[in-house]
Amino acid sequence: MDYWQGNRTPRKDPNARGVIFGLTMGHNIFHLTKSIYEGISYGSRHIIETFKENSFKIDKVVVGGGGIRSYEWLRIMANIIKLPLVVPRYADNCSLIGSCICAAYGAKVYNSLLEASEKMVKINKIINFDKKTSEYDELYLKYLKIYDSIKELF
Amino acid sequence: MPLGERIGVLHKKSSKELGLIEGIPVIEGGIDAHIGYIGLNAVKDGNLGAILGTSNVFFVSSNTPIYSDKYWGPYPDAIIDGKWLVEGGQTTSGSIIKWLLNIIIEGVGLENSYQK
Repeated sequence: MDYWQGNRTPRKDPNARGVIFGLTMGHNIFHLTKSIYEGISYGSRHIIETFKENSFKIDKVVVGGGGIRSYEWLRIMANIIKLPLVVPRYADNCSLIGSCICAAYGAKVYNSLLEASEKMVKINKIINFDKKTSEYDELYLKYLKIYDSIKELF
Repeated sequence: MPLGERIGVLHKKSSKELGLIEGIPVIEGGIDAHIGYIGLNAVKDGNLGAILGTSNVFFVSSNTPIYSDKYWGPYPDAIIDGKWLVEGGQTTSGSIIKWLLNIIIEGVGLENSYQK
């Protein structure tokens, strides 16, 4: 459970804390690392499901930021949230690209920010989720349940 | 001041410090992740913008306000005029990986840990 500094959305619980659950003698550092990427991705799914419950239609996720340099993170995230991830070119520096878009619109090269965005951003790759990976659905429900089971202890 | 609006021009002192030409236009920017959301070209129906790093932030936009106490917003005209912005966030994400490496396998390096 990825609540090392509490949960900001959707639980809004600043007292919640991180949990690594189900350790055995068979686990090593690589399992632990993977479990953290999975925990983070369950948290991402929880936010996305909250948006969907509030009638936002979401059929793909456009990802950016330094985190996308880890292909492993993206692969695990796609399989857990069960949505395709769109990775634009230079998306690890998306704020820099966004600044260029603001500048191009400000310099009147384009008529709107959205037009500048559409013209200046190119898709680099799309990461599809593995349709055969279904065990994550069950584990996601367990992730939600762990918090409900121990929240009084925080 | 709306995003993309001209604020003024670069003065002599700043142009020297930045190594840029004096007199070039200065344009209004915004919050780092908001600008990143535009930099992903994700302000469209059916798209969620996600910025992953030390922490995670998620953005969706709508033409009408959709209220909930489970996320931040909706904010009117926050980035694009006429659109309502909603945000969700994870305070710790990539930072947990860094934490793990710092306390357990310091010296191995992040790249080596997830490629095995």
